[in-house]
Amino acid sequence: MSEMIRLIRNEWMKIFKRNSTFILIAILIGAVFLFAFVSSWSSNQQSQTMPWEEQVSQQMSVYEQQEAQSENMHEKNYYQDQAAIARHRLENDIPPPQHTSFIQYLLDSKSNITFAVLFTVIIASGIVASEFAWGTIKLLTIRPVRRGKILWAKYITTLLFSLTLAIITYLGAIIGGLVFLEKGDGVLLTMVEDHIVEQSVWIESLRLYGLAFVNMIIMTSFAFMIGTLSRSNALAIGLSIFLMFTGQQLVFLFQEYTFVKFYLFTHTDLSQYLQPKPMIEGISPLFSVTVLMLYLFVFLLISHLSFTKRDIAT
Amino acid sequence: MNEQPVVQLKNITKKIGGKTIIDDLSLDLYPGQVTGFLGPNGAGKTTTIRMMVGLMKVTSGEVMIDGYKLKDNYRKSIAQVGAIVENPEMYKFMSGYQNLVHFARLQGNISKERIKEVVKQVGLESRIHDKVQAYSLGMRQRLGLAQAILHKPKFLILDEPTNGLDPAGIREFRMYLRKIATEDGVSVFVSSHLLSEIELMCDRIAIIQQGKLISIRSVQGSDQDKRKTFLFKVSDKEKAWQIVRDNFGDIEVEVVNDRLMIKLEKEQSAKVNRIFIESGIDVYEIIPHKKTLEEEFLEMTGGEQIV
Ligand SMILES: Nc1ncnc2c1ncn2[C@@H]1O[C@H](COP(=O)(O)OP(=O)(O)OP(=O)(O)O)[C@@H](O)[C@H]1O
Ligand SMILES: [Mg+2]
Repeated sequence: MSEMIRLIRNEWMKIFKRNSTFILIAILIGAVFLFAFVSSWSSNQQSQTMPWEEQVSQQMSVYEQQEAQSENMHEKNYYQDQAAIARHRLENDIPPPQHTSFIQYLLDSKSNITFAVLFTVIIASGIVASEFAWGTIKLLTIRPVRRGKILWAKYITTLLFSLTLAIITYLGAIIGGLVFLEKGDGVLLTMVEDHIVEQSVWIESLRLYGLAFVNMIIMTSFAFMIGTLSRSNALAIGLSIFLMFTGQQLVFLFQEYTFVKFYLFTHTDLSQYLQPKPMIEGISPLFSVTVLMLYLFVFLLISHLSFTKRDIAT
Repeated sequence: MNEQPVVQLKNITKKIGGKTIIDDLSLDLYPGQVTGFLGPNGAGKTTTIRMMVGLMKVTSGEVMIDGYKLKDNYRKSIAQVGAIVENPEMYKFMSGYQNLVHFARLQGNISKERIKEVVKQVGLESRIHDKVQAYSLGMRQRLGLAQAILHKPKFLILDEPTNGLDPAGIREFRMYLRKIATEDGVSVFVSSHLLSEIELMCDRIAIIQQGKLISIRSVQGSDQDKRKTFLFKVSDKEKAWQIVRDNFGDIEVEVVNDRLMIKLEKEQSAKVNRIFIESGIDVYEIIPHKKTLEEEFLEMTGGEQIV
């Protein structure tokens, strides 16, 4: 165990002794703050056109309509709950979070995770491939440590790095929000076993960030695998980022075919289950998690075999 | 040599893409010995070294280090090995010291004191906290040596280690290798292109050509060939030449510049000397002429060029 910790410290050191890492983190923080600033600026532009009661009652009738047209239980329940919450707001005079409020901003800020994923993918692509590019792979592997263990240390370090970036993104969003945004009116409500209760913004935002982090782990592992397999930093970064932005489009392209159920990007966005309808029919959270785990297992298996079995001839 | 070899290469063969790069190579390396590994470009020196440290797998054959099979007991055997394979590539964005800390963590229990000691041994004290980026090639070689000896290995492999060292550095390096071989009983394996250097540094030389080991010899000169060439500087070359012809018949004798080159058995050189003096020829010098390794090497490899 202590050997593993030493190896992880090494990998961590190699990431943080590079200036480029700090540039990435600075850009990430900059982007998060910019998001907060733009949110505050655009909320000042919007003048409230309609009292909230009117908005909510409009929404309520939409929900009720959709509930009537629902095709399955999940969808029906969703609209039923939403309509009930809307009714509850009107009856008890509880306004929803305003667009201009800190609560709504913090929930929306989860899209910042995209930057964190991008930067983690860069690190994950390079953590093995760079050793080959630098030629240091030789001095790294001729040690009384099994090659597989070196790879695991690298993988764990990559995950720790992605967690660090996710935390920076979240804390940055909170700080940026406190600096740039007014607290604003409104309360989040949610349905817990037929009871409508108040939902804390912290729990709700952590839930969104947590689901986004699952996607981050998958993309990181994918980049890690490509980097290990191809031993090329550029290829791994390029392919991962390309898939990051196009992977989900393909779900819609392939939605007629059955194999789309087993396609990675059908499942990477778990927040689809917070919506009335998931991306395609016939999938459930449990199914998605199972598919993701299988992909993860395959990614790591391929990385492991490639790293431990192949000759090092650079 | 009655000691156990530290390293045994048993019939190792490496094929890459159907091409045989190393062909049935066997070699034993002993403690306290510095063995040179000599061969023209592309002969397979680096490939052999890669197999000795497990970077490449052997296609067939066995690498044994310190009594363990490298294949089956990788950690135990590699723990006794320190190596530089080709260039000593380091993490350029870290200091020399941080690089050593990094490799120390991979080796296991290596104290800060040991790192300091090694830094001093390789003469990098004043620059060890600079980034490797700013190092000269020679300084990188020194750092490469430092990481290789950090864990006091029984077996040290150095692929072209003097590349980039200045003459003083090479001399220092040579003396250091001799010292760890004699004092600590380390077995050292050095590949190099520089024949003269290998000659100065090594006890034994293994010569490889096109993936085959074609000769293992001691630097002290080949004892198989009892006849040696002696250079005589004498007062009268022509007369001396005639005397040798008359007295020794079929012996090889030649006039080279102002000297006479005669191929003789050792005991005969005294006899020749006596006859010259008795015949009134003054003898100023008798030099046993050792064929340079280069001459031998070129002879052996059929004149193939070594850089
Ligand atoms: N990964 C590889 N794939 C195919 N052939 C290779 C590979 N590595 C080396 N070779 C070939 O194997 C032969 C031996 O190469 P090697 O690097 O071992 O030579 P060397 O003796 O170290 O040469 P040099 O003195 O130039 O360093 C060469 O012909 C080379 O082209
Ligand atoms: Mg070489």
